[in-house]
Amino acid sequence: MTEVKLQNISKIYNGEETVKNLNLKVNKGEMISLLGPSGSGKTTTLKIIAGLVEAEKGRIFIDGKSVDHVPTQKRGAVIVFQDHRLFPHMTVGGNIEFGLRMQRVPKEIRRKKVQEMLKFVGLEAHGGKFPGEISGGQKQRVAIARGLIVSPKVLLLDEPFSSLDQRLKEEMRSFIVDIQRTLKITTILVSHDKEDALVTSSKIGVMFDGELIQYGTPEELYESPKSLEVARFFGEINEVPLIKTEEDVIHTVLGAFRKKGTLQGFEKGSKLLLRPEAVTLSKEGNDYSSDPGIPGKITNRIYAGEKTYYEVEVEGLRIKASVLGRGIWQVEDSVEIRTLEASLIVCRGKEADNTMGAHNEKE
Amino acid sequence: MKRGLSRILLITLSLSFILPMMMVLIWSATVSWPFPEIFPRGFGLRGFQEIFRPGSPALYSLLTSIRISIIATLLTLGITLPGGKALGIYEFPGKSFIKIFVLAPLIISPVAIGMGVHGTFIRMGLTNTELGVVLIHIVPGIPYGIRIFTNIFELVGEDLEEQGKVLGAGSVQTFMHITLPTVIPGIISAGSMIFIISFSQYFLTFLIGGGSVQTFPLLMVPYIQSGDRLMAASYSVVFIIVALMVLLAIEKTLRLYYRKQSGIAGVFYSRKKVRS
Repeated sequence: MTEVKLQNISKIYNGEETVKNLNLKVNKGEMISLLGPSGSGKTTTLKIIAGLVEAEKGRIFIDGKSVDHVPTQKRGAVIVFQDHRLFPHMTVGGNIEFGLRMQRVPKEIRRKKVQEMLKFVGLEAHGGKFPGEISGGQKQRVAIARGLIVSPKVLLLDEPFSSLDQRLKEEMRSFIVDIQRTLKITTILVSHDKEDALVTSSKIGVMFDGELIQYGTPEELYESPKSLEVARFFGEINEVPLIKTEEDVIHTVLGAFRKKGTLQGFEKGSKLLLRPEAVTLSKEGNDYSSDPGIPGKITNRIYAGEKTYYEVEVEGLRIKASVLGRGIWQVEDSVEIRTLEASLIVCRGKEADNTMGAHNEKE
Repeated sequence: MKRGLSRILLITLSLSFILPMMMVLIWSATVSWPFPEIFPRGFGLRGFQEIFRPGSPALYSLLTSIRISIIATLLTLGITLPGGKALGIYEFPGKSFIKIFVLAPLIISPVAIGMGVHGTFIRMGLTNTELGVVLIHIVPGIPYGIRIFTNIFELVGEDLEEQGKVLGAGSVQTFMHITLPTVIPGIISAGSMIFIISFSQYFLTFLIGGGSVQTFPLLMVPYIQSGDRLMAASYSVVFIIVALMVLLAIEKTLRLYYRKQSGIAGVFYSRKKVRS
């Protein structure tokens, strides 16, 4: 098992800094994700680790040893690219065998290992086919098998699911998680899809414009994002408009909250965020709760099968809410909104003060 | 209407290729065919007998020609493949200028280039030598090679090479197992073109070889000029057949190499179609 460490990595492409002073440590046998919109420097980071791209500044350590001067072919960091990059002139078996052939492994051993690997990825029957003759999902498996057979120190996955349809995507995700858990290869996955990252990784790093904004467990990122940007990246979110803050109480459009628990971190300039699923809707005049609800009116309802999404107008503001299954509320219904203190997210953005009446921006 | 027109064009074009070839073929097998007569006076193989007679200069020059052209082709490919790759993939200052500059042998007349090079070759002692002829044959082939390889590498890019390196292939291995097989079609087309250009070269061979390097075209042209139609036609037929044979051999060899690269799996695993 291998540990990977990036220290102050910077890369400049055409005068623009695509990776900015990146620090990252991946523990032995861990699987992490780099998450961010396209063009945020994720793939460049992978290429830097593999040695395909040279960084202007910074150092890379694999197992504590600097690999800055180790050429790609000797680093033991294998990238599986989004577009598979299978060698079109080689059969499936030949593709998988490639890495061993380069190491001049004897033919008999090669043959045995290729057979094992084909079986491992469930492609025993396809060894003699050419890449043009197999499906997208199978190509993906070949690309992964081809990487695994050289027992890489680090496995780098570049958007491995983006070209697959939903069903195949889920299948491949659990396939990769299985492999990673079985072989315990230190793995870095790059994706723009939050689900890929949440489902597969023990840690997630969010990158925007070449900068690693936050690095932590999936729970940390989802529940306590460092900025509004990060919060938005993990799904729809409400920014709760503030009215005023007192010593130990925060008054908002959605009610007053005591500064306790997570809210203790609230200070001047902080924002209060609320996930749609943490908004509770109930019938107007419902008085079996001691907590007075805030009256609102349903302005939009979107039924999406497993969830129903609502937009509720509260004092001229649109609050997003979601409920599991088929929501009972229809447009024009009057409802009461209640929010639990514990579900509020405090985020200390560098953005300007959050003044009253700030609107939830619609993406 | 449109289809009729294109058919007429197609037939005209085909005939304009086939008819002269037919004339050459017929001429090569006649005994004599004086001008106003419609049919030859008789058929025979005197031309070929002359070419293939033991000790004939034609056979010797044929070997010289094949040798010179194959070496010149290999050298030209060796120059234009990396050159085309650089122009097709990498970004560097002055790239667009170089792209046009390498086409110079197409734009400037070979006479001008030959004259310029001649002086230098005299000083270097390369005139009247086979090496000199090989070197000068590289010049007209370069634009074609560069053009073809630039286009191919623009298309293929560097992706597969990157993948190869990541999987542990060194530079030489990457070139032999990935780059070369992926550009095989380009090598075949560029190689054939460069070979033909060299094989049919008359003027540059004459200028640099000074008559002491006797290639096949050098023997053939005097027959055409002196009006010995029978000999000229026989030479032409041999020329065409040999050129075709060499091209075929080049292609077969490269295809074999390509197939060998497909990996042991191609041999050891059955190619049964499996229903999934």
